[in-house]
Amino acid sequence: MNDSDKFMIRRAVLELAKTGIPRSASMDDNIRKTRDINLRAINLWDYVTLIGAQLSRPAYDPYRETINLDISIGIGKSRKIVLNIPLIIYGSIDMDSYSLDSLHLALNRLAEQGQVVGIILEGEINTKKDKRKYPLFKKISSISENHPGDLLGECNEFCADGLVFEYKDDSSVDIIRDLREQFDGPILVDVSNVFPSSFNSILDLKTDGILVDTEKITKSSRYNGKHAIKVICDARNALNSYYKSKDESSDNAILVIAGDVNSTGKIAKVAALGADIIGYSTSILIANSYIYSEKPYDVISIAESVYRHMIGTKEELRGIPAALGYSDFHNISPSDLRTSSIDASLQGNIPLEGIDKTYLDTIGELIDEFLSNKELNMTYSEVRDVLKSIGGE
Amino acid sequence: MPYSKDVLDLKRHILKAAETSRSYFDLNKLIVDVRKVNDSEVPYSGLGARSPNDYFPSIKIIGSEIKPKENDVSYNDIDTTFILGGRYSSNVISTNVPFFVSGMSYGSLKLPAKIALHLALNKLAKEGINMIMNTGEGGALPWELYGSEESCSNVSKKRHESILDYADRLLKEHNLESIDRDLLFSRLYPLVTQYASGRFWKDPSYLLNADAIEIKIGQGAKIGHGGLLPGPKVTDLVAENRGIPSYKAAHSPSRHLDILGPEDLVAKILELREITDWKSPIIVKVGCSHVYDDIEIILKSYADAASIDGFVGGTGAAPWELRDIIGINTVPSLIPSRKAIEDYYSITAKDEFKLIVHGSVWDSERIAKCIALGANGVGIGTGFLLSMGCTLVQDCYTNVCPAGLTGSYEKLDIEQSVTGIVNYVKGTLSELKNIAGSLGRKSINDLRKDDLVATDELSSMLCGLMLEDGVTFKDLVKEKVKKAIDSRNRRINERLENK
Amino acid sequence: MCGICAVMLENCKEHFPIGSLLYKMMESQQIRAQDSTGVAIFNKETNKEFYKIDYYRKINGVYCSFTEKVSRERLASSMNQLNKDPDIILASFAKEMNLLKDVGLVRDLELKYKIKSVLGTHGIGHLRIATSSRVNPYNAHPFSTTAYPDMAVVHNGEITNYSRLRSSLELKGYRFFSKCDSEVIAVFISDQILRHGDIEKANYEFINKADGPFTYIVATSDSLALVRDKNGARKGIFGYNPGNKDYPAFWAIATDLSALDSVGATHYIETPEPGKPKIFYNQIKMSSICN
Repeated sequence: MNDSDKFMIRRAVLELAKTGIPRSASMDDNIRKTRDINLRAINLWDYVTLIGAQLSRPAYDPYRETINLDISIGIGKSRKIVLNIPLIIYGSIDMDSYSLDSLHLALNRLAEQGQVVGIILEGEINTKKDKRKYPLFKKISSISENHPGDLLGECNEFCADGLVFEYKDDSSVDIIRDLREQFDGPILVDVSNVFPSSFNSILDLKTDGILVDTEKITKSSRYNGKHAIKVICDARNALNSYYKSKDESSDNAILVIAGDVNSTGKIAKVAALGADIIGYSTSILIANSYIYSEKPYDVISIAESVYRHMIGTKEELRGIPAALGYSDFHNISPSDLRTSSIDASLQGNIPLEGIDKTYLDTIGELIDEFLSNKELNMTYSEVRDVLKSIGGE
Repeated sequence: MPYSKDVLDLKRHILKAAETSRSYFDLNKLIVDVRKVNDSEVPYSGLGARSPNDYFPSIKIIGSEIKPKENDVSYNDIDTTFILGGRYSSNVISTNVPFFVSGMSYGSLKLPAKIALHLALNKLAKEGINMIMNTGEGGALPWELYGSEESCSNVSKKRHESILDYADRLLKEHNLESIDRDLLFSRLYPLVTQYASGRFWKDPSYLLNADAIEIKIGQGAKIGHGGLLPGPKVTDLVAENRGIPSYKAAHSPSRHLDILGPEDLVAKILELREITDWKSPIIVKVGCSHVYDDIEIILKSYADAASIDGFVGGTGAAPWELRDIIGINTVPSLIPSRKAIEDYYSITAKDEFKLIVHGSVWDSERIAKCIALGANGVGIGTGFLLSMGCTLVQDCYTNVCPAGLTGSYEKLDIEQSVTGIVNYVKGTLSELKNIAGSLGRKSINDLRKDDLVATDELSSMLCGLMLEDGVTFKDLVKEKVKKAIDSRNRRINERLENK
Repeated sequence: MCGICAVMLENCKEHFPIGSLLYKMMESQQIRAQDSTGVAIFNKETNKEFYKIDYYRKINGVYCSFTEKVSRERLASSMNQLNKDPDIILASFAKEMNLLKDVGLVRDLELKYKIKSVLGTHGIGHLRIATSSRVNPYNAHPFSTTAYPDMAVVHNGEITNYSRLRSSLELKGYRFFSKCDSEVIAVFISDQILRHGDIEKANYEFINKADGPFTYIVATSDSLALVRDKNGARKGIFGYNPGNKDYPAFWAIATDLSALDSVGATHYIETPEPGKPKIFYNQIKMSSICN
């Protein structure tokens, strides 16, 4: 319930409770009048929900049964990294050394307790490998003039467990190939600059994963006016269609989604749309909040905050697959999503609630009906184009 | 607000960090993160989820009035009967109100609020308005179960004394000893007891003395998650009523441990039927998710009614994020539910199966919309809380309630609450009669889909309703398709001309 | 979701009316489910020159049942055709297997197909109460696939990550005919068998990948496998009947104890460990099962 709805609901009931005689206007009329103003502030994510497990599918119990959140990064011969929470701390937020130290402490503490979370860092890293118990991904961009050998030397100096390489243009392919030959850890490729093209050539290089920054992409011209839902959906489809043509699909590259995902609910929705690991920036935010506190340089207490927040998030994350009837977080699939918005249905190919079909499918069925009843006369290519134009392409 | 200064400080700091980060953050949910930072536990919240589109405002009842324009018109003789049971049960609950109090247990609600509900329903019953009350998961109160002479006949004398003793202690805790015992110890309204996965009840009277039994598989606020009463709310007396340790959070299992699938539900219902000698009607309540499948199973399982609880359905406490992301809205789940019932009864002719709807229903117009879309009855929870003075701050999971309903720091004025409830029920009932009467119907159950129009495409599509300007969804699509073809062909022609 | 049962003769050289044993077991479990019924019985003495394909084809909006006999040479092309036709729903693809299923009670199946007199070495039976897909003959168990002949699956429970498994198998090019979650077991196991031919490994693989409470029995021409999920949420027990002069010794698998009782398979009653498939091979020696 949002505040204006609350106000109207309360007013409607209180009026009745006070007088006991019929009112002159109903609540829904009032809500309808003000709704257009309210809707502006709502994100499309809010229209997407998951469907829980009830009679036709028993739920798991997060308090009494094990719910698996583990995910492994690394395909083929590359070194495997296992995360116990499918989150990797990543965000385009500036951090100073105090924030980094507190994150380091928090992640170490989590790792000691068997809750390994990854982190992606750019720039200099002041933690040495021997003191680090969590996997660190070093982000390098092809924009720098460095030779791949140099890039790798930099990584080895910091003993990064994995690499995140920012893909720029076709010349990046060669750099990735070189990196792949020399580096035995997982390599993730950030494709945000070229999305949605170049997927196949990157995957052909045996990279271990694709990183997609939805925030960056929705700001680009190609996805102008589109929502992150569409980006994630396209990314998953691109991965799937790549593996469709391959025989062995048991060892697939993972999809990392970063960007506007910062609440547990959204993590679950993004995972349902097809993400394997989610780039999570809220931890950075909490680490950064020390600047404004009264004890700004208390690294230990801020690390404690980050740690507690992550434990809370993990508990929440365990609850969601359980309520959907899964014992593994990564079993959440697009079929668990429903939406109450036509726009979300079109962008994410998500079924509408109640009818369990996407908007476009419903339109397609209706067109078929019109054709078979001879109410309309269309050629096959016309039908295809009409569906495309209704789908907003 | 129960947040401490530390939490609010933390929130301020994180907010500042978020504002300077140039990155997208959902600031509405910031408090959830702050609470996780504060205690590393899953944050809970109360009442229902926030649905950006719950469809009710985009559906209109055409030509109806909730208040007649001419003063001398009265629709008092409109039939508003709701009958529960009779499909397999020998007893039938017949009420003249198609809406009722949905499950709110003692524990999630404090004693004064429960007493206010009890007294109000008794008062209404004396005036001839017979409304059903559901006990909720946490067991029933002594006067609800042993409210009449004969209901004490199947308990031993010793047990009866301990029940009375417990009642005394309950009243003493809330300084309500001055309450009229005779008035309290009578129940004139039909009671539905909830058979939930927590099994918080101690003797068979809970099932035998109730007028109907509701098997709760799930609820809309926390679908796939068991009932939940946070530690601070489990006071000694609540714990005694439920038979659990006090001040420890009560987490019910997320599923009935003996109901894993449809055949288990059949077995469970038959067991309850034997216990109650096939007398009590049995309802099965599910949260809205795979509604068609769920209703289909319930139809096969010897139940008398199915009850669905939508996404916005309220609760005392639910994990915040879980409440906000799992479930579908009430209206779109009502349509497949009704379809499942119709599909089933296309084989057999009888239609004693009732569909009860919960979630985001607060006033008469929404009740009428639900009935027109295919519901038989409607459960209301938050509406009754509102009429007792709820301020919708959604802190029901704590022991602090500004209205004194779910927490004990404010005192609830029972008398005023009773009046509020009575007025709310009477007002809603006469509004319902007005709606049916102004449409020229003899009974509220005669409302049909044709009485409704949708104001947007989605509602029209999901509910199969006509749009405001008399266009069906199909026509709308046809127009859309025709336009799309035209613009496509125009584009192609332009391209050809350019060449 | 349902009641399952299976029987396997200890000495698979003989043939015995397995159908009558299955009928007894199914009838004693009928209380569990009433929507539809099906059996698959394996007979080594059938004509092995032809593959038998049973399917439903939609004609004027109604599905009608068809049977086709296909020689080895023509198999690939007619399978291809089957997989492409959207109006076809496969019922069974078999050489030795006799798969009979329909809506209704066991009694109705007996009236229609005389299952009691069907001879064989082993067989499985299923009683269905629908959870998530409609009640009709083609959603009835046992499920067979176009990928691998002589394999049938009966299942009790839910595969909750069904849609995820299904889409990954569909990416590999397998055709699904129903919306029932049980079909995914059949396709998954076929896929595994085609890859490495090891039924035990295939079942372990499935237990790892699948989520939800389930028990299922996979029958192939030379084995029966009883599998329970990792948490052991669903029942599944087996027992042994030493036989006498009227009938041979056999192993029986069922959901309820009463079903084992009804055929006298009351020796060595046991349940497989959750997450570990129990496999009965043709002509298996008793000693290898009992320890």
